[in-house]
Amino acid sequence: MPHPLRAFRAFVDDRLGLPELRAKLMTGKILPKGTSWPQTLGYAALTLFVLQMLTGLGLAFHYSPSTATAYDSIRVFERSIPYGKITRGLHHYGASAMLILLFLHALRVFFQGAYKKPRELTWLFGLALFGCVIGLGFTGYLLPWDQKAYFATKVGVNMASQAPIGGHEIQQALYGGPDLGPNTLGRFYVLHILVLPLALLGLLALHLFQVQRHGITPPGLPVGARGEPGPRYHPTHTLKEALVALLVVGVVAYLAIQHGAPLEAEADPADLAYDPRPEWYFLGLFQLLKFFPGSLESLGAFWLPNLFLVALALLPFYDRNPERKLKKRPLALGLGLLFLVSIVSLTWLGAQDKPRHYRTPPHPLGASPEVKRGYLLVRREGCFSCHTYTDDRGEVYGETKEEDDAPDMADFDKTPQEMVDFLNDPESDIMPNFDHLKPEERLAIGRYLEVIRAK
Amino acid sequence: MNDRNDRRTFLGAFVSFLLALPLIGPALLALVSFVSPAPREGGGEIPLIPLDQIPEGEPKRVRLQYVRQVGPYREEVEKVLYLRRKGDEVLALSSECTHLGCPVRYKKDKKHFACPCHGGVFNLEGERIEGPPPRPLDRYPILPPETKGAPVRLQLKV
Repeated sequence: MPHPLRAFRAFVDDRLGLPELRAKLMTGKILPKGTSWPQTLGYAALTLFVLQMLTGLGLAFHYSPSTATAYDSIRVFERSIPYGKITRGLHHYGASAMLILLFLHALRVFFQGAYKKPRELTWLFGLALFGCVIGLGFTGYLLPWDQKAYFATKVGVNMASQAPIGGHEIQQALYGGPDLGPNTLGRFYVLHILVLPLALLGLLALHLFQVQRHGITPPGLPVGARGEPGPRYHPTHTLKEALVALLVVGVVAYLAIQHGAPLEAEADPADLAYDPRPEWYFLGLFQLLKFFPGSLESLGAFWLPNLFLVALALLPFYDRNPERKLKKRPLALGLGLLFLVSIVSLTWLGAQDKPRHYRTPPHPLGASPEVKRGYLLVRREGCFSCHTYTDDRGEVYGETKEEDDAPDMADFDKTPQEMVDFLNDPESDIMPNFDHLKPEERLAIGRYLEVIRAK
Repeated sequence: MNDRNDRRTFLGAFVSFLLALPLIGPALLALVSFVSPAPREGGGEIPLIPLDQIPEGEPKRVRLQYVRQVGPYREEVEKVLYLRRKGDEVLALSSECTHLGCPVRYKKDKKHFACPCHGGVFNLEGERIEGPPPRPLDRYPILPPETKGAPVRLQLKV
């Protein structure tokens, strides 16, 4: 007399054919001898991709892809939606962690010679996947429409426009209009949540199909040699995969809870005081661009990165050395290390070039257009490069100088109407006149200051 | 026998093509939509400031504000320009670095424009003197004021 649950399970197993599948893909699969921790990175990256899809879904329910509301929709999401800050934090750090894992995974494949025959296409699909993830990172950081979003995207799209043929067309297609603006945001949103994830899923299917077909590369053996049987895939190797994935997600969750994702001031194309810097994973490229003078500029912005990509893609086709042991691949080892040292040092150098920023207290959510206008003017005129503002939680905005400090804006008591005349001529030796502003602009500044003081 | 195989192979390829055919058109349509930027309108002659407010030596930072229609969006665009006068002629330089578009700033002490990103430097005429920018800062054509004392006008194409 079968138990009803058992009967149900037998029904599902029979109709879906799960036991055969399990036996073939998991319990029955034996991996080559020597398979261990380095072969767990791909799975951890896959876990993060699912994490990105789920947290991205959460973000998408509240996100508003319009330049007028995108920034505030992120602020609302973080402040008022339960676990919003953590969700966005997971998405932010998850993206970085995914890039790190994919990078390590690619290094593992390179140094173990796992790209060699018959896994040339696995390598190519893998590179394309990496490209998709970079593209997701690039399109993703425009979406909050903060200062970093605006300026880093501008630089990135302009780099694409350095292509010798069709550069301008690529730029216009990405912008969707004459310049980075509302059309761009819409396009990047579609690329980020639809086009790139779909492309990624398709490539992932091809990549994993290839992994299934050719199996894990037997470590250390030359091309064509049959490896000895090693660990069982499930549950021996899967336990390692589970532990690594758990560790990675744990670190991402820790960062998300402890720090949250950064959000800079709302994008303002007319803000000349901002020092644009890309996300950390583009800092190497950022640094590389500084080395090329005007005439050789397309060399750094276009040729060098793209030729490198082509060389990487064709690697399994020109590297005919059948050996996989590093000792017998001196050239590959040398070039690999050279690349590693260059990218790490370029990234490190790029990170040394720190932007100088002071923070202007944000305008409150739902503030009137006049207050928002005042806030933008305060930012552009650089009021908080001298003044500070201490909010009710004791957080200090603006630049703090040791002496000759201009008054803290929390203690400032002029009404908006008084500000119109005051800013025109503050009658001060230190504070400049703001007579180039229109009276209604000076009034808007007063309104903004009034609103943040009332908070 | 061989003939029959050939025919079958050909037929197979032909039917595969037929299967793909209804998908090729829509794929091309999506691609065309992607590479076609939205139509734009706006620009023309935009008044800035009167000639006597533009200094001869140091460039003056001026905010260029105009409205453009890009596809469905009415955009209020703001850009920063540097204006400098040479007699009755006005030199209007864009503040966008010609390398990758970061905002260049005027350094009073060094009398040049510096880009905060990759180290581009331009002189007062907007010519590149250092770093990666491939060409001088963009210049906007400036029209003389319509009447004496009226603002100079900038001719803008969007």
